[in-house]
Amino acid sequence: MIRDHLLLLLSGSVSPLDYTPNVNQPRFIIMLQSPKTTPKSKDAPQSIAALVNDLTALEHPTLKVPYEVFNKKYRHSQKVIDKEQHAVNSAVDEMEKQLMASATSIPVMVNLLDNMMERLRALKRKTSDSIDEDCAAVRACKTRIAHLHTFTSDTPSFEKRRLDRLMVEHCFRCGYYDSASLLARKTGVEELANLDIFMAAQEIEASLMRKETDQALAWCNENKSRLKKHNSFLEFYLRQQEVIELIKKGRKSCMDAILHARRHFSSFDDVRQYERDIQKTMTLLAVLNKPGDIENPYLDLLSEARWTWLIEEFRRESVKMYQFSPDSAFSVALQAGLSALKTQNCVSKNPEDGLQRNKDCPVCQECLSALADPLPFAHCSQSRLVCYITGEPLDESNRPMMLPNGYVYGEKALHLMASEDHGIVTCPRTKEVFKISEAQRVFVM
Amino acid sequence: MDACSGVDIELDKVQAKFTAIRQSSIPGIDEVLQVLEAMKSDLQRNAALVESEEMGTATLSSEQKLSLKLAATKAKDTASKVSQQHRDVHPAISRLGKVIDRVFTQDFNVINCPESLEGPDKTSKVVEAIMEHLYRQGLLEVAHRLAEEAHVQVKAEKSLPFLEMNSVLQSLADKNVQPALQWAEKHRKQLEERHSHLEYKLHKLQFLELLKQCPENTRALLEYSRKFQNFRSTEQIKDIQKLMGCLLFLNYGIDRSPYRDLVNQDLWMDVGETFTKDACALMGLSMESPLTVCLKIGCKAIPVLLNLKTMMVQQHVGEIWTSSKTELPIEIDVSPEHLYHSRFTCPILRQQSTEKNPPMRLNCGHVISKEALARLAISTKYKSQLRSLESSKVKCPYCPSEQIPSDAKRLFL
Repeated sequence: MIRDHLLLLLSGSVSPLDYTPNVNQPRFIIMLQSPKTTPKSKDAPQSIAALVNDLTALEHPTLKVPYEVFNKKYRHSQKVIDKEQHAVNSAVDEMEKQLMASATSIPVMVNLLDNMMERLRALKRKTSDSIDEDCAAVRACKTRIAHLHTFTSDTPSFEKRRLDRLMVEHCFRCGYYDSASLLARKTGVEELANLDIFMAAQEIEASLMRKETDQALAWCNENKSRLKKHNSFLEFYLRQQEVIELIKKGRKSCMDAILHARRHFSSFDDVRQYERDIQKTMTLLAVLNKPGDIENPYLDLLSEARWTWLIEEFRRESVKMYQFSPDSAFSVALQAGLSALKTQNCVSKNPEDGLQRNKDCPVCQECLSALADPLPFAHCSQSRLVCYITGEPLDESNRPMMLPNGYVYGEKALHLMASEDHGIVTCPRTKEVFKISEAQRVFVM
Repeated sequence: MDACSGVDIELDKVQAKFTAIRQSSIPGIDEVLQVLEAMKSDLQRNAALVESEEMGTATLSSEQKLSLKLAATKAKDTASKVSQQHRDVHPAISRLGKVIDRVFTQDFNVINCPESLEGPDKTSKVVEAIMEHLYRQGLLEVAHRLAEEAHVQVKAEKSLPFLEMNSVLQSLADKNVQPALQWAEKHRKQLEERHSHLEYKLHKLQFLELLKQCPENTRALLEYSRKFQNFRSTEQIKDIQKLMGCLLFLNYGIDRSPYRDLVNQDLWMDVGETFTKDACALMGLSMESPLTVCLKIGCKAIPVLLNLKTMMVQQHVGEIWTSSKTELPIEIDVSPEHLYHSRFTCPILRQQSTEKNPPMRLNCGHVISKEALARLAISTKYKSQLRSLESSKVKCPYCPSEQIPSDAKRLFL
């Protein structure tokens, strides 16, 4: 009963005040009666008052991704400014050193002054540029906010744009880069689609496709601290692949492979977690000379498919890096939508049992129904009847009527049919013919 | 408060800080530069003076040294101030990040059923679904690129119906009814079966358009009005009478006539909708894009499911969630236009009907599930044995009427 009430509460059909307290369940009563006065400890999960809505449930990446871009840009700006500040400082230091000297010639001093002014101008220029970039990144976040605001002001257009950008993101995450950017351009959601991030990723993936590790390694270097925080193996895998490629080249480059391994594997902070991989890789050296009896684990290492796997690994890391959600919002929403619409009718394979598909129902569509197959059915606590003929809901104004064969249709549709055919109705599903007077009322609670 | 506003406020704060840097630091540097510039020219003048008097290389006086030293310190301070100010934005930025994290849900995967969308054949199904949506939107180019990139084979004829539909809709948007009329004439028979008024509506539009554009050409209007003689339903005849009425006001001006509503109505929108509806029905397609519907409902369902999840975790009743994989744990409120199938939930057992447990109509008209009826029959039997009564009739749980269980009629909803 409590659960039912909670469910109703969530679905919005009752307010918390409708709840009649039950003495056996004091815990719930406190919560439901005074959601606001419940003391909230700092790390307590959301209270009832802070229920998520459409926006807060799904739009974390929409804001967090541009935020992450901004954050990165800001840190970069800081570095640039600091560098210029150091340059100014060293110019000042140089001048001070000269000032300490007993006799300083004016031309020397003028030179030093020039140098210092040059540095200051550089600082001014770089600071100004950096702030411009920072502000541009802030504006990108603002654009997203403006888009999210249209959720309340103009829901239909928000929904369309949301679908467009979710599709774009999904295509990007699947690696369909060209289609994704084309779609973004055609639908005008470029500003909402994080194009730059994906374009940069596409370049690196293309280089990996060509079996070049430089760009990917440079990316690892650039994002070193973040990758470390995520405990990423990407850099190691890239180095490992380099070693494998050297080993593949044959006997001559074996020494190179050993040297390469020695140089790079040892530079990882916590070598122990890579131990097994290193062992496996180095064993390759020994087994490779006896082709024919290379066993499976080593074959895997030599396989070309490892490059594809590396690309996927890179994609996972970069998605994580920019704070995208672990699963694309598109697929989560698609699954939830399919599930919420899925009924026994949609999966019925036998038309004899009275369940039939509806061409307007998304889950009954060929490709979507395949996707919906493993998903849970929608929950339905209250019967809701729909007229098979008109698709209108059946209620007091359009009462459900049963024909003698047990098929139920709406009153309106049956009367319309009867008025055109002298009181005769034809069941659209069985093609049986009846008089309209034979239809009987049905009461569904 | 609106979720976005909180983030927006933080963003504004960050932006204000950057503006502040621009307003204070940059002029600060300029100021120092000016001082240095003045000093430099001063020194140069000094040096020139010294050189002109041929007193050898000029050296700095202690006074000059002092002011130079001061200027140098100022330059240093200004530079470090700029850097410091920029660094001071950091707390605001990290607060912004925290606000985003706090207000928005980070992991919204509620269904967590990877086998639904993963795996090569599933991925290509998703791509197909996206492509169908793109066809609908008239984005053929994107659809084709996607097919190439995702290596999905799609038969060319799949896009054909959409192609025709889109070109007709496009010309309707350009206020050209001809392609739509041609289509309607081609499918006249099927449209009549559907009781569709599409053809009439198109003619009406065309007539009104003529009326608006060249009211002086009475002959052409009369000529066109002959097209209405094929439309004979009561509703249409009433409408045609109105259209003919318009002709009386040709010289007076339609805008000032009692019929002005006719020309001001947004009939183009309506005819576009009628056309889409009829075309989709004739081609066996759904009215709305399945993907649009699915995502719309999905986005509505996620917060409900998330809230339930949070609440269950809070109340330590988490088990229901993971164990009920066959049915969502909560009803998602679907608006009537997205209700595609009748759903019957037995009012007694609170279970949805299945093939094995269909809805049964009792003679009184009340509907319960087959299983509920069977249980009712068993309990009645048990009671009647005790009381040694003759009948094995069951009483309807909702009204006083009684009947033999086998008289109940199976319903097909």
